[in-house]
Amino acid sequence: MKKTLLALVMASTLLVTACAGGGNTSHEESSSAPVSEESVPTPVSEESVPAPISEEESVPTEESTPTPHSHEESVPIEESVPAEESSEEAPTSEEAPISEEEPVSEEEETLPPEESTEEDLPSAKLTIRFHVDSQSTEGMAYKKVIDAFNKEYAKFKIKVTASYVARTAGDSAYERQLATDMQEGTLPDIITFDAPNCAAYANSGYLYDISSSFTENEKKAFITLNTYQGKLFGIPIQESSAGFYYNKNLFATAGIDVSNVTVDNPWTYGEFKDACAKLLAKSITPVDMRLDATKDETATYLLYPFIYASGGSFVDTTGKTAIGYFNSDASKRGFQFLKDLVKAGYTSYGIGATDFHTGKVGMYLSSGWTTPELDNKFPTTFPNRDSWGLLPYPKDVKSASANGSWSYAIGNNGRKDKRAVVALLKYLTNKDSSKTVTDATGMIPANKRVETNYQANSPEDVMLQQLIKTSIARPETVGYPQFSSAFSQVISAMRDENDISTLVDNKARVLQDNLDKIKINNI
Amino acid sequence: MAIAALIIFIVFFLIFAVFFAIDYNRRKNSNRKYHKNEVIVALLLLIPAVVLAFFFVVLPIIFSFGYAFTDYDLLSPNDIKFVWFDNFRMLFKEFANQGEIFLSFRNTALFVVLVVPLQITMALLLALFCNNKRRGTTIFKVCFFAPVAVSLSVTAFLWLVILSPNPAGIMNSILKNFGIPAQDFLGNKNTVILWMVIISAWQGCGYQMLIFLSALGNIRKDLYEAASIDGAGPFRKFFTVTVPGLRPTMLYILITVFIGACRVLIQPMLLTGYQDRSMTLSYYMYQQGFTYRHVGYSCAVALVLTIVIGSITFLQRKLLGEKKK
Repeated sequence: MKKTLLALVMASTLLVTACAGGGNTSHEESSSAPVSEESVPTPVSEESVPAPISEEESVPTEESTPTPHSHEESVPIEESVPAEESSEEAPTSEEAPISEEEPVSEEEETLPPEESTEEDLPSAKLTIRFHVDSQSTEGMAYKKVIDAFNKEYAKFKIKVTASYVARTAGDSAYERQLATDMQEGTLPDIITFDAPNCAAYANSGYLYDISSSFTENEKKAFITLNTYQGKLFGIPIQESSAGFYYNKNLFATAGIDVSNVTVDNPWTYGEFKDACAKLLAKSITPVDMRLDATKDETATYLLYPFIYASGGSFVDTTGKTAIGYFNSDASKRGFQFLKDLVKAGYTSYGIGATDFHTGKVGMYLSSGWTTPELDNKFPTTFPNRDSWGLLPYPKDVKSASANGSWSYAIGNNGRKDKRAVVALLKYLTNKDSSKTVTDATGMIPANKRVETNYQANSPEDVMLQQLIKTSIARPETVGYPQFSSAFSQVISAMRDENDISTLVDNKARVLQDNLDKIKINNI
Repeated sequence: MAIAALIIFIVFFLIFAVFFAIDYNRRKNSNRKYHKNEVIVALLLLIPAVVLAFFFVVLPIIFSFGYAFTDYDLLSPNDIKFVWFDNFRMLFKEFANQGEIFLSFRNTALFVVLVVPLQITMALLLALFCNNKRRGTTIFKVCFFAPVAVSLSVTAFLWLVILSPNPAGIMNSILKNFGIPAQDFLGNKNTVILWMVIISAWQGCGYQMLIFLSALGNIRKDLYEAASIDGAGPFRKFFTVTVPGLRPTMLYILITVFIGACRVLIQPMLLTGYQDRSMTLSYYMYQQGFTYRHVGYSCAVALVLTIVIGSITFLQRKLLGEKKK
C-alpha cells in the first residue's frame, strides 16, 4: 500500500515540476505541498514580464505625438465652430475669449481643404467609456453627442462605440473596471475621470499626454484643465462650483445687506462671522457648513477652499510631502476659522438635511445640485428666486473657491495612431457637445465658448464668475484619496477637539504615512 | 496570472488527490471497503464544490498571501514588484507611531471586549426566555430573529436616523423629555464605540439565540427532574445543569462571535465613515486596499490580522475547549 502512496506523491511532484517549468523557468521549489505558497511570487514575476513590453509599445505612440500639427489642422468640425462663434461670442463679456478669438480665426484661415484632412484621419473603430448609467439624463446626452460624432465622421469611416459603467459611491466599480482594462490591455480610447484622480491615473500610465495635441488657444477655451507635473492629461466635460445659498427673508429679518457682495468683493472671514452673529441674535441657525458630510467627498469638496483662502496649502508640488504644508500655520488658520464657527454656535454637526430648505437655517454651503432643488421642490419656503440667492466664498488673505468635476482623457492603450482619438476628444469638448451635456445636467459648461446667458448675480452667474476668477483645484497629488480622508477626518474630529493645531499636526503625520506608501512612477 | 492560477489549481488538486489516496488506502485496510463506482460518484459529486472553493476561497487566500510581500498598487496591476518585508516594516512602524493602524487596533479591541460578552449574554437570555412551551413564544422568536434577516446596511441606516445628532432626532427627542440636552451619539469619540457595540449585539444576537435554543432542547429533561428532586432552585438548576449542557455550544458561539467581532467593518463604515474614533482593523484594511489603492500593504495587514485572530482562537480552544476523554 505504501508503494502506491509513494508513487502517487512522486507522480504529483513530477507533474508540479513539469507545470512549473512550463509556466516559468525561474521556478525550482516544487517538492511538496508548500509549493502552493512558495509559488505565489511567480504570478508577480510573470506579470512583471509583460509590463516592459507594453511600455515598449507605448513608446511608438509617444513618438507619433510629434506630428500633432497635421491632425490639429485635420479636425474640420472643431475648427469650423469658432468661425460662427467669433460673432456670437462677443456678448458673453469675458475678456479672455475675445482675445483668443482672433488667433483661432487666424488658424482657421490656414485650414486646409477637406480632401487633405480625409487623408489625415484614418478610419478607426474607437471606444469610449462614460461614468454614468446610459439611461440617466447625463448618459442620454453623451449618447446624443456620440451619435452626432458618428454621423459627422462617417465619411472618414470612424465609428465610436460607447460603454457605460456607472460610478458608485465609495469603492468605485468604475475604477476597478479601469484597473481590469489596464491589466488586460483593453483600455478604451477615451475614458472619463474625476478631476482629483488625474494625478493617480497619469502616474499609473492610464492617461495619454495630450499637451501637444491641443494648441494654446484651444486650451484657453477651458476654465480649468487637468494637468499633472506640467503635462496636460484631461479636458473637463463640465464644471462645478459651490457657494453659500442664503435665505433672503431670514437675511432681511436679521438686517444683513448683501447687495454689494460679489465675487470681486466677497465677504471677509470677519464679515462672514458678523453676518452669522446677526442671524444667531435672531435665534436663527446661521449656516450649515456641511460638517456632517465627511463620509464621502462632499465635505472635502465644499470646505477645502477655506484653507486656500487663508493662504494655506495641502501638499508640495510633487504631491509627496504633506508635513509642513497640510499643517502649515496658514492652513491651521483656515481650519481654525471653521472651528471658530462651530465654537461660536454658528454651525453644527447636527443640522438636518433639509433644515435650510424649510427655512430654519440662514445659509447653506452647497454645490450647483442645490439650485434645481430650491427652484422646484420647496415652494413654501422658496416660491421663487426673490427668496434665495447665492453668495460667493468669503475671503481671508485671498479668494478661493471650489472647482473640478469629471473630465475626458485619452486612454493610454496600445493604439499608435491617435489622430482619430484626438479628433473625437476635440469634438466631445467643443462648444456644441459641451452645450448638449450641460443642458442636460444643469452644470456649468467647461468650455467658455458655450454661450451662457446667466443673469448678473444669479446663482449660476456667481458660480461661473467664481470658476473664472477665484477657483483653485483640489491638490494635485497621486495620493488624493489619502488627502481627502485626512481632510474629512480633521473636519469630523474638530467637534470634540479644542486644540486644532495638534489635531492638524497629527493628521498631517498620518497623511504623510499614507503618502509614503505610494509608488511614484516617471511618466 | 492565468498561468499562475492554473499551477496553483493543479497543485491544489494534487494535494486533494493525495489526501484522497491516503484515505482510500486506509479504508481499504479496514472492514469498510469502497466500491470503485462509489468512489467515482463521490469524486464527481465533489468536483463542483472543490472547484468553487478553489476559485473563491483558496486562490484569493494564496494570492493575498503572496501580494503581502509586493508593492501591488490597485491602479498598476502590470507593475508588481517583490519587496520582501517592506509592508510589514511599514505596518509595525505605523503601529509604533500610534498611526491609524494603532487607532484601528485600539477601537477593534475595545469593540471585541465589549460586544462578545454582551452579545452572548443577550443571546442566552433571549434563548432562555423563548425556551418554554408557553403559547406565543414563536412570535418572540420571530421578533428576536428579525434583525438578523435584515441587511446590516439597512439597520445601520435605521440607527443613523434614530441616533441623529439633530435636536429633533428620535433619540434626542426622547432624551429631551428627561431634560437631557441633544447628544451627538456617533460623533462623540467616547460614545461611538458603545453604540456600535449595542447595534451589533442587537443585530447579531438573534442568530446565536437560535443556536442556544437548539442546544437547550438537547439537554435531557431527566437531569432537570433529578435536580428538582434534590431540591435545586431555578438558579442552581441553571448553573449545574444548563451551563454544563451548553458548554460545547458556548465554545462554538464564543469563537464565531469573536471572529465576527474582529472583522467588524460595515457598522463604522456606514455609521461614521473612516474616522479616528471608529475605524477598525477591517476598515483600515479596506481603506488601504481599495480607497488608497495600496493592495500589497492591505494584504500584509490582512495576513497579520489573520495570524492574530487565528492564534487567539486557537488559545480559546485550548483553554476553554472540552477536555479529551
